[in-house]
Amino acid sequence: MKQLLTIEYLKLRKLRSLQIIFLIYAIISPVTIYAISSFITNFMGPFLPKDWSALQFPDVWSVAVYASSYFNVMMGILAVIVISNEYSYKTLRQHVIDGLSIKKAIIGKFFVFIAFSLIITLYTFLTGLFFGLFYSSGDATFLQGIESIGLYFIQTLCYFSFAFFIAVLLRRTAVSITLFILSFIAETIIGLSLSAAGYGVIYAYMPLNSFSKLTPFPILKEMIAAGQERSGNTPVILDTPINIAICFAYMLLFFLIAFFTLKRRDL
Amino acid sequence: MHEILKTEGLRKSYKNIRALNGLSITVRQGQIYGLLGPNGSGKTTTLGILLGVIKPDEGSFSWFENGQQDVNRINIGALLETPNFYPYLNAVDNLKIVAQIKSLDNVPERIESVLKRVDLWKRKTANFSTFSLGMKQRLAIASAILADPDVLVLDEPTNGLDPQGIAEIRSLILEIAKEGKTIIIASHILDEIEKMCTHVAILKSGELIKEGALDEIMLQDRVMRIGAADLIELKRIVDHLPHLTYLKTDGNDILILTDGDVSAAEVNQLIAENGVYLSTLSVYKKNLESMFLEIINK
Repeated sequence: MKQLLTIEYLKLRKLRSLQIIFLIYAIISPVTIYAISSFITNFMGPFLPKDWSALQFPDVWSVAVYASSYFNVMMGILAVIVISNEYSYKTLRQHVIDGLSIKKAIIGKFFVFIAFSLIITLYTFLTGLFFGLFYSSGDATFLQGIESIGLYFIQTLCYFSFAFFIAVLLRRTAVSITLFILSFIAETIIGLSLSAAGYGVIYAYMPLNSFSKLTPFPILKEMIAAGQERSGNTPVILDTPINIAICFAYMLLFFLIAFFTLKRRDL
Repeated sequence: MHEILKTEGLRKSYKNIRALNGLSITVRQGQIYGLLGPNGSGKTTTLGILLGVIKPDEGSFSWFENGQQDVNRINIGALLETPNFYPYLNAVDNLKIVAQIKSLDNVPERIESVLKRVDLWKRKTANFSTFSLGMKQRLAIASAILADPDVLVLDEPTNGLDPQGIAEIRSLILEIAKEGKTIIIASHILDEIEKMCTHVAILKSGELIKEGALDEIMLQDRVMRIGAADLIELKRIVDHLPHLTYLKTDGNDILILTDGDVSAAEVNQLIAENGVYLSTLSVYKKNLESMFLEIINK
């Protein structure tokens, strides 16, 4: 494990795109959390439950992870770059020639994605904690609602697994990034069409939708209730434990497909 | 001598193109083994399979009599096609990654030693992307020898090098070979193979045409240079002798082809028995180029 982590650290520590994306994340993520909290507070007043306060514990956690989840696409692009670089520089091929097994190469990347997930989850936690401590005045402690941070960690790993899958399948950076972004749009269009046709349950089980529902819009339940009152339509929202299980299944599936693709294919 | 590599019936096709058709070769310890063949003959495919980056359709191979395990490659230094490094990292950082993969100790000392050996020490902090093709090639060789492996596998090792660079790499390879290392070189540069290799395998369209010690291969179907005062009479005699074939006149001599069983002494005797005494008689060792072209064009 130490060997694989050292190898990945040596590769990534001077990668400019990684530094830039992390810097953007570090600057914009807190701004986005603040902006979304202001938007909800100022424009969604009628839907807000009593005692709900965007930047106070426990509500700050759901706002923080929801706002940060917007950057998962950017982080996914980073994952695509990290993987497809190995193809374009032919370094994965060279590592195998030098004696690294495909299995170890994939485990190394898995460690990288866990490390990325831990870093951005920790940063989101610290940002949420900062806002919470700064704005909270009630009795709620910072531990209340903190499970959202755990769900955010799982979500980031899920997006990384999807990005890994796309990058291994397509190998070329530009094509992989394009397809990675297009797949969000495509799944939304397909999902909404299915929902309109009365097959919303299928949409609920689709991978990117399942991932995004790990950190839903902070007052989603209230908005669904209001929408149901108005139109009678109820979108299918899976229970969190079922959704987590589905996300883990997709994550495993994406990593396994990537692994067997790499195992079978010439480098 | 220990068996370093043995392949049996390796086959590989790309769609409808057969790249390798049942290749079986054996490389023994200490040999400098040349894989020779024109472009598309299957040299790189062979090395790719042996280095674990191309999956064979059929057949097997074994390194160090230890099968196809990934760990075997730790003890092999290899350069396949182009040098592959991270362009945004410098020479030292790139070699540190290789050192980690091979779980080496004394990494800074090893890196300094190999970079000095390939004359890149002064450029150790320059990014790989700023290197010339020759420098990239030299870094790849530095990487291949970093672990002081028992076997070096080099695919076109002098690609992109200027004449001085080619000479340096050749002498480096020969120097490494003197340490008892086994070296496998694929090249289409015949001069390179002839100057360095002890053994060769000649490939054509994925098939093994010939394999063996370079000297033995070059002496097969021997050509002799003979001369006499009366060249016309000499040529007439050669035409009538069953084991000799006239090839061409070369200055004051003629070149003849003998079958494998006739020695130089017997040629001298056969011609003398016909009344002509030779003034010149030497075994004309063909160069690899003429031998190669002869085999490939058969």
